[in-house]
Amino acid sequence: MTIIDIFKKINAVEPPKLEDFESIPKLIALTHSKNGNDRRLAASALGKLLKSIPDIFQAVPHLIRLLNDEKPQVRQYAAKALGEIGDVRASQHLEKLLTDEKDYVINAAKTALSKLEITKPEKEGQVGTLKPEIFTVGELTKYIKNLLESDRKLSNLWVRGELSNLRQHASGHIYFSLKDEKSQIKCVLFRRVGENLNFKLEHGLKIIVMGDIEVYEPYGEYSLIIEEVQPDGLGALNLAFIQLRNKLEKEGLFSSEHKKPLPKFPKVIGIITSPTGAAIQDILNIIKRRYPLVRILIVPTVVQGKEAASSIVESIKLVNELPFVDVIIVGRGGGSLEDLWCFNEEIVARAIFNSKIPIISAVGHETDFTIADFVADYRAPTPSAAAEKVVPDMQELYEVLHNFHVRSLQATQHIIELHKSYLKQIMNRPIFRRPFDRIHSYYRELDPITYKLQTALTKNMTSKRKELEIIESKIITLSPESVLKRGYSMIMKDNKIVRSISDVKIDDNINVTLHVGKLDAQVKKIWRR
Amino acid sequence: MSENVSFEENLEKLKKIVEELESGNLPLKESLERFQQGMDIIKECHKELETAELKIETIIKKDSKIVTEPLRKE
Repeated sequence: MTIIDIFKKINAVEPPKLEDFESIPKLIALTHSKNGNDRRLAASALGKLLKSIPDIFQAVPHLIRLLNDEKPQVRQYAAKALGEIGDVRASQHLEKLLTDEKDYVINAAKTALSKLEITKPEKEGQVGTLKPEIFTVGELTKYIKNLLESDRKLSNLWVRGELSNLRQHASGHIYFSLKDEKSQIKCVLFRRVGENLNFKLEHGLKIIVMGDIEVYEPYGEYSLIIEEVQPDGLGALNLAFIQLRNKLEKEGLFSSEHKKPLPKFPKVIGIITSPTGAAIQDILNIIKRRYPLVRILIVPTVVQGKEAASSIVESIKLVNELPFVDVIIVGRGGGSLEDLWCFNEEIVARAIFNSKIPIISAVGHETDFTIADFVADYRAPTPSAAAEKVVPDMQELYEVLHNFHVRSLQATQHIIELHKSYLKQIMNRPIFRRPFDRIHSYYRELDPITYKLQTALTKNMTSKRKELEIIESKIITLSPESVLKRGYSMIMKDNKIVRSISDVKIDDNINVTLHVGKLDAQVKKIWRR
Repeated sequence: MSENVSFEENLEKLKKIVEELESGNLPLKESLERFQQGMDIIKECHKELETAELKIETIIKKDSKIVTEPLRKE
């Protein structure tokens, strides 16, 4: 039997035959058609089937669903059909149609509702008179599933509760229960939703979730399929911040033993920030004023939005490839928590931690604290403060130089003074002060010796003189003078003493020396003996 | 003094010189030499501070090579 045949039969308003029973599943299937016209026909047909067919009640949840159909005619026929079937479960849904945009839908709803009012007691009676129906488990479950899943109130609903029994499967799907003091409900968070959460689900967490109730037929369980999760109380970002901070703190990423010392006099400074932001200008101005002796390498970096975190990580890695960079500033100017969020991302924290070059974090304002601040080797409250910290002040350096100048001058003067006084001390030694003292003492030693010497000499001379006198007198006695005195004469010829006649000839001139005076004479005669 | 001696190294040298001078353990001649050295370094440092000019560059990675270029003045 084709669908068309069903409609022909229905339109003929003939008493139902056995085949009509078989047509119900087909019509229900048709309510799911993508074609609006098919859905309208299905609704219309279901409404025209006789109420006496108990199976018709299977169609009720589907007709209720069609009350929300995008096509007004489908809604109209679904309302009509529900009025015909007379199931009181439909009334609350029909009431919602009373505000429908189309008048004919509203009219259909009104008519249906009035029929329900009439049929209500009768209906109850009728249910009683019906033969008890025996469902299969599958049918019952399907019925419940349809019932729950077609209820608009049970889709896109928000519910608040405490998270428990958290289980994460290898597939990435997350299962947990949401509970309060009285009850609990199973929840499923599929991976595609879970991946977009910026905080971690933890046992005991108070959350607000949005999702749809679904019945999972194999277990006969209903659960909430979650589309969105928000922390209850704290904002999602705040919570993520706290969670990541606690996690990294536990791992020791913030501990002071990992903090690298900042160089006192950096030569090359890497700055990771936006090249067009206010932060870079602040930093450059301050460094220029304080200590323009450095080379600055700006690494243009995205510091806001989705790409910011990976951009910062890339920049940190890039600077770490340059071995001559002494220190890095990572930062940006102030903004909302969302603006600064990249500095709270785990990959950024780890990149800062892994940097071999010391990093100063400089994010936002004084009061903004980010994860990056905790991991960085030094946290500057603002980009300007980072610039003040990263370089020494030239004025201070002048003072340092001046101090060195004064100290070395004083020290050197002191050394000179020391040597002077040492010299003075040496000069004051007696040898330099009274150099003649020594000589005088020698003199004094010399005097007695001189005296002794003189005495000895005089004595010696006196005795010698006496000796001489004796010899002199002897000599005087023996002298020719005394011989001549005694009357002897001395004859000389040519200044030679004449001792014999052989020394002269006749007529030789001779000289005769007397005791008194001399005579010149001539030899006249020679007498031989 | 050579150009590549950093400010920091110079200050370190100065510190050492001053300490040596203050210890008073050096002979006079060496003291005077050290003093002269110190004065030269101070002069050098002053010169460095007075003539310093900030060098600003941007670095980017182009085809896995690091490229630096002077900052564009806007």
